[in-house]
Amino acid sequence: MTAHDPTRWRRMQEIFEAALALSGPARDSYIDKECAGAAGLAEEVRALIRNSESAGSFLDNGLPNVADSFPALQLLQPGERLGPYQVLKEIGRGGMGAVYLAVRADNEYKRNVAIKVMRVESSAGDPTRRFRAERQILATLDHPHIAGLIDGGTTASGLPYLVMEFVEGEALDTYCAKNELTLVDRLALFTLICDAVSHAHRKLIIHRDLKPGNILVTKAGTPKLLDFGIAKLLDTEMTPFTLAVTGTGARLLTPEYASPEQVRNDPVTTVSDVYALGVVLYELVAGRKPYELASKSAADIERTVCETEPVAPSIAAANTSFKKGITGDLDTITMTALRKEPDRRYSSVDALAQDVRNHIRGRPITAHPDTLGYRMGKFVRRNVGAVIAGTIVITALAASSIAMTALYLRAESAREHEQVARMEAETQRETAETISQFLREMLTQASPRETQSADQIPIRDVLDQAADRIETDLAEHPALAAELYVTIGAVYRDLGLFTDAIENHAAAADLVRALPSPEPRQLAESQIELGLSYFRNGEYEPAEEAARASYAIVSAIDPTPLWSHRISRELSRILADVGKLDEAEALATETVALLRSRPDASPDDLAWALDALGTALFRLEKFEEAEIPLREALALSREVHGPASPGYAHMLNTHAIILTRTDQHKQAAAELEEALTILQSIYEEGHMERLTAESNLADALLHDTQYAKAEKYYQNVLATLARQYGADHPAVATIANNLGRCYEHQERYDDAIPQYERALGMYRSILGEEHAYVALVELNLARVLRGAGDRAGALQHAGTGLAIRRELYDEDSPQVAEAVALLDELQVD
Amino acid sequence: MQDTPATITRLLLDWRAGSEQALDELVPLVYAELKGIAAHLMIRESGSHTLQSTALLHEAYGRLVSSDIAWQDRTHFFAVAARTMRRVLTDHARAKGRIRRGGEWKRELLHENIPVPSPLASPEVLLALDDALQKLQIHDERKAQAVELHYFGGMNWDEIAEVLQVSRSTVAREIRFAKAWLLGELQK
Repeated sequence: MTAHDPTRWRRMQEIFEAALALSGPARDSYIDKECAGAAGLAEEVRALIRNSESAGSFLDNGLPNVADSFPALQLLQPGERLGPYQVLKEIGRGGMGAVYLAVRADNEYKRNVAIKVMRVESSAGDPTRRFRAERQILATLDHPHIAGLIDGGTTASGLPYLVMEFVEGEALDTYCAKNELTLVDRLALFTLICDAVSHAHRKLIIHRDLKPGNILVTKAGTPKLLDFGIAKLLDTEMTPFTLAVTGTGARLLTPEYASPEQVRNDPVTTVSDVYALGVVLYELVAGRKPYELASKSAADIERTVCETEPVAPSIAAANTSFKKGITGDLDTITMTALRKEPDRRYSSVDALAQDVRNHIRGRPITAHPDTLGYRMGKFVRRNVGAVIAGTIVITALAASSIAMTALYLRAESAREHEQVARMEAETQRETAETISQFLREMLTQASPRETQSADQIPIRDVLDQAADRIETDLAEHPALAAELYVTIGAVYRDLGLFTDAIENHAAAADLVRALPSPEPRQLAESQIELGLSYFRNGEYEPAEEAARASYAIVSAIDPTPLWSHRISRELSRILADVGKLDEAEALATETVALLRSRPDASPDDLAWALDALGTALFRLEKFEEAEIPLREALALSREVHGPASPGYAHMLNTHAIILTRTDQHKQAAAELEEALTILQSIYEEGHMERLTAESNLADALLHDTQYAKAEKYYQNVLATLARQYGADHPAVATIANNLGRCYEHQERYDDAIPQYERALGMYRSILGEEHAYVALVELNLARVLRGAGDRAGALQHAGTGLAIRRELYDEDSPQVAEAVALLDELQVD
Repeated sequence: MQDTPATITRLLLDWRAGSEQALDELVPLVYAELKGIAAHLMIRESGSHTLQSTALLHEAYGRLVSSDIAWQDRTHFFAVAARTMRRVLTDHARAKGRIRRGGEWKRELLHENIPVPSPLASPEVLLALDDALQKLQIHDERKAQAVELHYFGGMNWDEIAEVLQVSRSTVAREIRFAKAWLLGELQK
């Protein structure tokens, strides 16, 4: 085929695509049929299919990932002599060269050695001379736990080689697993490794490629570090990021052990080794690596290593036998070694080893977990340039015949902020840094590192100042200013300061709209943020409007961008709350499908989408169906965030509500108490998040007939809500209703009546006359009026309730039946 | 040197706005920078690896492009980088082939089921691939570009979709077909 024939080409592709979906004779006859009349087409299509099926990873590895397809290269032949050494056999190979087992055969003693031959081409200077100089330095390493450098030279064909002590042993990870080393044994072994690294550091030699494969353990249990400084030695261009030919098998450097500065090609120092040791330690105690990077692209690897926090080893170790031994101290030690910023890690390997020894001996360790002040700063830094997911959604729950469950909240944890920020950071790193600098300055003024709890941070003052400064400092950078408003607004919202949040998000949305050519993403995200802020402040109409505007923007983008998951999900939540349940369910389903279809979607995002879906199903009163996504969300969340995170607490909360609705009250109360305990340690009293958990706990207690306890929680939530958020906040109606239920259950009708009346009045004005909640409270009120002896009033409210339900539900629905039954009873009275 | 960030940024914006001439001007500007990167890769031969080249590309990006460029343009920058990287490597391979074979190079025979080695491993293969890509381009510009972005630019399907303004599944289809077709060409 020489000349281009567009029709034929297109046809060829069509047949190719269709035929790929078929197999065997069906495929053959399809090709024959479709290609009839076009000379040679059938052969071409068949060749394409053959090639497609044998293509494997052809062209997939990209330029850099070469070693796998590298043809075998013979650097040394068995039997060949290199100085006094005789080559026995090849024991490993990789892109950089190969490793041979050799024996010193020139005089009376025979000694096995490992010879590494490098394939090095260099354009700069005299590589051999530099190589020799480096070798001299390496030769000064003399430590029982370091495989020593014995000799070196240049082969006949001009390739440099190194002669190393040959170590017979197993890689650290294999050794520990095979011998079932206890946690303490592992830690002790680790300190020996640290000692060896520290010895090298004192000689100003950095390993640069520490990993279990480079740490062999002999039969006697002695660790031996291989390839010290080899990475640098091999690097004729002084590039810090290096490869290593390991003793057990040469392969490309695994990025799992590379520190952020190595990934970024920033200068490598001794604390880069501290980081790698942190990864090794993590693996020793948790049984897995802090990050799984194998299947990721280079950009994802860089992002993961530089920007995400691994879960604490104690959590990661869930399936190991010594899970119990991993205390907070060991978490702290590991996470300190693994910090992203080199200057925040242990300042030396000795300091790391000392803390591990302290831990083994039960002494206090020197490292501290990140303080809240630091996390806060980091939180803001991370979220800069990103649309910060808000914290709180008040969700008044749909009612059924049993009772109305209270509100619950939506806490988007720091983890999600991180996800969002990460995407954003990828796209707007420079902008983000400007902003982050700005915010960091603001924050460091106010939040002392040692601040231990939220109430000591005058963050509100900082934010107020920052918001003021945007106007003056960034007048000429509206896009940047908009992002900052978004960020600050989200922090306000996290703090429960909804009016301020709305103000900032409205400013952001206005600025973005006024840009000459606004980014669809920035446009959509400023709108959804505004919507969420309105929503949390209980202003449903503008909330829905803004969220719909945001969704309209993303809907116009093809293909659907991954980041849109948040917008469709939040719109779903808002719609679920205003009673547009089918639409809410559809949106949540769509969001879950989007995330499941994308291998790069984070499990955390999926958890939140499932949570939204569960919520919508719940509102639709499909309780059993709702429990499925919520259970999955709970499990994912625990896996991602760990058992003491706000995200997990939120999921517990949601799941518990379902349990309440399916009459598993004890279990529900237990989950809610767990959630509340987590939240109490994070949020101050009166924070919406805590109030939600308390309210839901009260519901569970109510159903479990623990009325006194339930009443206490309700009263407290009601008073706090009114105080913090105003007596007209929609959640007040919900709690009032539920408190009414609590009284009703105890047959305290006179106490119940005012609560229901309050709820009814509020719902009517907020939600309109014909809303499911209004109907529910009408019926509730009817029942207690009847109990209090007001039959006329009861009839009237039951009638209204029934009328509304007839509007909303089918005649044969349980909702209508319930109302009819009540009315019947009243008429019999 | 004209390659100030402002120039590159302007060219990128022009290119995105549809100016092919801007692309022609862009490539030489980016070329010099990427040549250094490629040299690095060459020296390392097979030893080069993903992280390094990505980091270097990012570094080049940081040096070449002013900071207020929007993210789509960033993606487009990497598209330019992919194009340029292809050119750099092909030039290098050609030079190397001349040295080795006195002015002409011989195409290495590829056997079925043996994956094509990396271009860095063999100048012959790289040149053959470049040839095949040029042929593909005549039939189907978009497929050729998708492969270029994927292979020379190290971009994933989402990123390619962004550059080509098509859906991810289209990218997947285009690349699947292009791979099969190219493999056939290389075996000729």
